[in-house]
Amino acid sequence: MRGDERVNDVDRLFREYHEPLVRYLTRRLGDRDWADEVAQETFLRAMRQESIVSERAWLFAVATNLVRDEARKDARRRRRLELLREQARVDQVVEPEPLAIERAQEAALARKALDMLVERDRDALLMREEGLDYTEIATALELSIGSVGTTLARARRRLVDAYESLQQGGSVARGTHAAS
Amino acid sequence: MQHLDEGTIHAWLDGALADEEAAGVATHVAECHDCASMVAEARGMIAAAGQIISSLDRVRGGVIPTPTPALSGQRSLWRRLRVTPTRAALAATLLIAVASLLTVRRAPRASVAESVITAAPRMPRVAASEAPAIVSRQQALAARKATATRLSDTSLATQSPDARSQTAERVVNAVAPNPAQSAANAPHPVAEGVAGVVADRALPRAAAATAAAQTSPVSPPAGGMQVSKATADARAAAPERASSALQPRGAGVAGAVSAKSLAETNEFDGCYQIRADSASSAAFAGFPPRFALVNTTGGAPNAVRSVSAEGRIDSVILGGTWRRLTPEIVRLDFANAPEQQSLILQLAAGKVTGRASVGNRITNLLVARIECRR
Repeated sequence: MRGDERVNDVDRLFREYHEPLVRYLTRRLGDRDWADEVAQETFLRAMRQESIVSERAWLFAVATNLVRDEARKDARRRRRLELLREQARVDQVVEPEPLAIERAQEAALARKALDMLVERDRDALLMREEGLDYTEIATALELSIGSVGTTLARARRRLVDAYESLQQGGSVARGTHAAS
Repeated sequence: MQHLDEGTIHAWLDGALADEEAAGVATHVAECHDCASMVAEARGMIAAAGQIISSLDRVRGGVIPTPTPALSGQRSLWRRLRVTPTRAALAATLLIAVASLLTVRRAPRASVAESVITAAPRMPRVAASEAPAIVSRQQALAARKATATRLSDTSLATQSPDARSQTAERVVNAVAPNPAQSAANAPHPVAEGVAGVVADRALPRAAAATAAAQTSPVSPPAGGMQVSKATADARAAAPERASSALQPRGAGVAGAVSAKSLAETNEFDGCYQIRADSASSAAFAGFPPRFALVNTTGGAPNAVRSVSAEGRIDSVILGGTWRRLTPEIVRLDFANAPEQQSLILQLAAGKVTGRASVGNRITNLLVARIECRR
């Protein structure tokens, strides 16, 4: 593959997968800026890759590994990706809405509930929410395909249970506070 | 067919099963009630988990600020001064607090207290009422002294004559300040005028009870302060008591003498002589050897006049005043004396006894009534 073709291919990957990958990483990390950095690093590695079989699975797997390993960044190439990212933002004009207090509280609860999951369940769940199929999830997380369903079922149940218990705890705490 | 496991149900719902396997699951779910329930529950889990995860997207981006050089030169004055709404609110609050503090501190000391009574030990019930007639600090001072005297008389009524006079002295000295101090520290006239009209002894018991009902009990701990407020009705119904508070001679003892009866009894009017053979005459030489108690009208304090050796009532002794404490006891004050100087006279069975105090010293004086003329 020639250099120009590779750059064009990375640009395509970026346009196609940047948004879901950043969303996945944001959900995973709880920090949009950190997620952006990890996503940049992910696409940076994609540029170095000679060939990628399962693009989405590969991108999510690399991003997940980067989160785990807190990979270093390549400043020079990240600059180019930054330009691409800015261009994508201009195209989409996605601006974060002001957060109401209730929504912020919900997000905080969801963050706590998600953090209560084991890492594999959390990654599998977030990848599934980004539309990765079972094969991609299995590839990214190095699982057997047959165990993905079980992993997702367990992850969903635990997430909902944790969220509800946190909600009830908060309600009890608020009720106690109000009573006192 | 064996029941479906949770992983298979989720995989089926996620569309991750092959067509043949998915068809088998669908058939089983349609026939198996338990598995249908599990499928329903799994659908709920998938939806709920998706909703929880989507709430994570409400995370602000751009937490790390990026400089915008094009706008840096166009910042507003407020931004350049770093005046945020929070800081502005804080500054306004501080400004208001300081202004309020200064206003309160500069206000007259007693203007707030409509009827503040400086507490004395074992105060009797004191009816508070407006005293519209008080218009000057001098009158306020007189009313204050009268109040102090009346307060002291409560305990006098149950004591021996000597004890009464001593107690009266102590209370008066404790409560009533020196005239000079009073003039300097004289509180608001209204507050002073309210300071006390004592329940009238001559009033019928029912009337006294009514007066008491209109009165807030004043029995503070020593050194404390009590606020006594009469109702507007009480103020309107007791103008006479209010005016009597302005006149020291009308000031009665708690549950004792009415102002009216006092105004009509002037048996203390007359001339007196401190006998030369009085044991302590030397120590109390500052007292006039002869004096006359003259009943003054118009609300002014009763004057004390000097009496010549020939028995002629002479000029008014400056600063000399007298007031009746009980029907049998009067108190003379000589405000212009170097030290606080007073004389208690008691009339019993036509005989006069005197008890003088100068500063902290107290002694008995022999006093006799003498004939005099104007």
